[in-house]
Amino acid sequence: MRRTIGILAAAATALAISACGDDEGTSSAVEPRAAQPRSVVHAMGTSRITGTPEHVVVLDTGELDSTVALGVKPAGAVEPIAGAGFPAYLADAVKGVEIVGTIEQPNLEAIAALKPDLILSSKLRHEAIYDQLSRIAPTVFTEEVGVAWKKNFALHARALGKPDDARRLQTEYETKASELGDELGDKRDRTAVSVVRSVGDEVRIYEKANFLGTILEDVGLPRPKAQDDEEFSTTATEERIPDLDGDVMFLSRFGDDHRLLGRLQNNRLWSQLRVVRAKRIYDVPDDLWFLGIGNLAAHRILDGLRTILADGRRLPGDDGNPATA
Amino acid sequence: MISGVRIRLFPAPAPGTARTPLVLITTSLVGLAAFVVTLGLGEVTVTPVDVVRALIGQTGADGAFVVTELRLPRALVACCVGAGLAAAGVVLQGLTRNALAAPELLGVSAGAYAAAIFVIVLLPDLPISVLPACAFAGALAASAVVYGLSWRRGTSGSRLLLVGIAVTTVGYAVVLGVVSTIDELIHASQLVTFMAGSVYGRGWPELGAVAPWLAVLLPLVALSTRDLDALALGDPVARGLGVRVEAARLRLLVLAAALAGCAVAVAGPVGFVGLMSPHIARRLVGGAHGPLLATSVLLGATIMLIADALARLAFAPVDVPVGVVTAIVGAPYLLWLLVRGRTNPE
Amino acid sequence: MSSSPSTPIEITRAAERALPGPFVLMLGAAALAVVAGAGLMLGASTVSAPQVVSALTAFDGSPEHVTVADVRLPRVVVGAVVGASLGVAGALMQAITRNPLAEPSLLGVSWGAALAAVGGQVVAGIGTTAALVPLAIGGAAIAGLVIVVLAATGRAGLTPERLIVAGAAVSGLLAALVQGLLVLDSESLEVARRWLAGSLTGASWDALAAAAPYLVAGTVLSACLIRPLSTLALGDDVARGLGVRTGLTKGAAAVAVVALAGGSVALAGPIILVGLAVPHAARALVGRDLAPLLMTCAVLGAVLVILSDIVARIAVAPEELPVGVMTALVGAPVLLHVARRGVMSG
Repeated sequence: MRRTIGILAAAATALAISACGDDEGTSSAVEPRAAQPRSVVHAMGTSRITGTPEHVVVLDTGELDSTVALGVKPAGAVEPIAGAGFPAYLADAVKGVEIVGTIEQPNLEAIAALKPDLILSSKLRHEAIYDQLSRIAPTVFTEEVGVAWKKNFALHARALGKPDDARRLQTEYETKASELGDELGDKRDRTAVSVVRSVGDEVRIYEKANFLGTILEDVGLPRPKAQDDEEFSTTATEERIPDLDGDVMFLSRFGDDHRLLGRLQNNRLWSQLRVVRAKRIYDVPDDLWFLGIGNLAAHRILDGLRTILADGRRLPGDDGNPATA
Repeated sequence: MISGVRIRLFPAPAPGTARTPLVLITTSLVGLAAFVVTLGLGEVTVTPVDVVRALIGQTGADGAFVVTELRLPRALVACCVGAGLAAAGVVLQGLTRNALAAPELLGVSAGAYAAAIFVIVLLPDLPISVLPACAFAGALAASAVVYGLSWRRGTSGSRLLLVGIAVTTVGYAVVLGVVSTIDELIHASQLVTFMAGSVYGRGWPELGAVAPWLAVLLPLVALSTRDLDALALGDPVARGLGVRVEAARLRLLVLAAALAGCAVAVAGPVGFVGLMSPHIARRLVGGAHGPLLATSVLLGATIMLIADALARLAFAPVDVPVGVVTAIVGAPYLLWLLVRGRTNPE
Repeated sequence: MSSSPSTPIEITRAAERALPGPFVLMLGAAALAVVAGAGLMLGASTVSAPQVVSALTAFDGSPEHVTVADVRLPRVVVGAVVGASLGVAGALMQAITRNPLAEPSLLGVSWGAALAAVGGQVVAGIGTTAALVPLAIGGAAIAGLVIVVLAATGRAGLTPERLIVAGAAVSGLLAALVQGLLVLDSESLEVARRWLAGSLTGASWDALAAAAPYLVAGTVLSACLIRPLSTLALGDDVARGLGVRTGLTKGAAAVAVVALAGGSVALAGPIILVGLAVPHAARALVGRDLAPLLMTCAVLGAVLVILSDIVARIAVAPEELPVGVMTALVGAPVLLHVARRGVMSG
């Protein structure tokens, strides 16, 4: 009799444990694929997303970087300008991704044709078409782009259902940045970084409130006085050539036909700049340093900074002649 | 006052008036056909039959989502913009007794556009839905300025037109000045696009912003066609017919401003539709403003539909602003008109 | 002030009211020197007058000297040349169309040049200003041809107002096409600024040299046309009776306008309303006699553009406004004044 009760009790206990075990399974925080849709609050309201979207369309370069960094290959993405293709630093990671228009004008029909389960962009760029995008698929918008990239990365991760991965990647970045800063040590005081970008017929002096500016700040690199403002950028004219000076200059080109840059470089004032005389102008790849705007690009830029500032070498493709693209 | 040569704007009482119902029906049918066909064109081609199926609610049909959610609101917005601009053109041409008057010339479009720009730049946190009202206010303000500056013991059509050109020129220059100083480069390029006139990405919210205005304004214009007919005969004759000329001109100017204002608010300053539609309509049905208005409105909507289809498809996947297409189409037509001296249609 | 005297008494009175030509020219030259000096001194940074002088005479490579000699001097010179050319072109257009509102940008000539130049730049990737000059001249020629045909045919229905309205419609069309091209190439706002409102940024000696042949040719041609055009002002029939070949004269004047306006646009984009404001001011000072009028227009035009450029450079420093915004603000009151008064065919 006691044995029977014992067996029954054991069986009952076993049943009870396995039943509890099942409950545990469906509500486990470890289980990545939640069955219920979750609400993601973003700049345009709240969207309901289920699980980890795998058919994502991204409408800007920062979003493209975020998805690739988190291991998701988007179904579709926009190119910065018509015909430019995706930023080169992403290379194979974006092979086969469908082009769905430009940042300026995403092609709504092409996006719809892909039947996405998530669309990522920003209010700054695409507020006007949010309504239509959200009819196609759940759409998550950050407030702005560029300087807020860390916040944006976190939001993209929440939308993609991978917040832990994002946190890990961000911590790795922060560590890497401060390590580089420590390694450079006091040298940093003598390394005021000037950032100049030629966009077609216009030359911009980048200040602090932008993607590259935050990275430089994270490493602890100072900026020249003319660039030490919490602004995005200002325009360079021939009269402002002295404002381009620094201990080091990172020079980048986007688009074709850099006539103003050519004029600036031919101007006598240019040859009098400290960076020119010290030959410390470094050509940097535009797609990585200016278009990337994401965690993956940030890691690579830190590598580039290490090469240039710590190792004292030039990046591949930089022949030391600022006049060539 | 301008010298008293009466500019003959209309043909003599025309055999055309008998044609009006035929013209209206034909134009409606053409417009409808254009509507259905252009809804089928794009990344995904949808046959007209499937388009109709999608429109009547059969969501299972091929390409139904694209047709009803993406193309339909845009097409309807284009129609509204075309209709509004065409009606404004009819009013302005009758008001100034000049067949070349158009909203983009009388400062109306410039005022609407400038107001929209100022709001976007100075108050970027305001929601987009506020823009139509602001543009309307801008259009009204510009018209008020034009009207006031043309006042010299009364106004005249020619003076309104010339002052309008002055205000338009300056308005655009000032806007360009503002655009030049914008730090945020992203907004700058969006504004240049808006400047050319475009219905890219316009959806149900935009339709909801413009359609109610039209529903109110078009009937109001229809009621004013009698005044327009009287004004066409010259101020003295109009007064003889009992029309209070100055009050009528003011009222009509406000109407035109409102019509053009809501069109510009939604699509930016699209050119030549307000100029061409009344022109073509006049050749079909003559100068009496009742039939002229109805035909112009239909033509304006149809022209915009076709122009927008071209804009979407010509350089796909890049969306050319529809204002560029209307300019390309309007250019040869306008030049042909001018060179042949047919600004007075016989 | 710019009334068109038509009776002999009025013509005489107008001539009496005018200031002596040489006096005005000396004043103008002095004003030009002052303004040019200011243009060399002012900008993102202020360079003192002695430094300006030493930069021009004893150049020593310092930043201030480089700024004055390499950046500001070409800009001031190109500004003066462009201003003078546009002023003279405006006076010529007003003479041959007998229309006080005629000027290169209002009648589409400047925009035709701009369209050709932007087309070359955006579509064919032509980079240097030197290469763009022939394109701009070609564009101006085509647009000018249209206007010449309109004005020369002199149809009964073509009142001066209609010419302006027609010109404004053509300008609007061409400007829309320019916008369209700029939208397709939206990399650079600088390009947009230049071709939508005119800008002297990047003025260079090379560009000036490339445009110089056309500008010089236009100037020489204008000088040769002074006598026939003065006779033409008495009326076509009278002029013919006096042995003037009216068609040839008008045609040659149009060629001069195309050369002057096209060359200016190639250098600095379509700077609007200079050709309107300057002849009116000049006429108020020296009367209608063509020889002093043209010279005064040249000087006043130069002063206007340099002054506008100074304001454009310092108003929102370190950003720059397009110079066309300033000239529009100056030209607008003139345009309004004439528009209000009514355009009387002279």
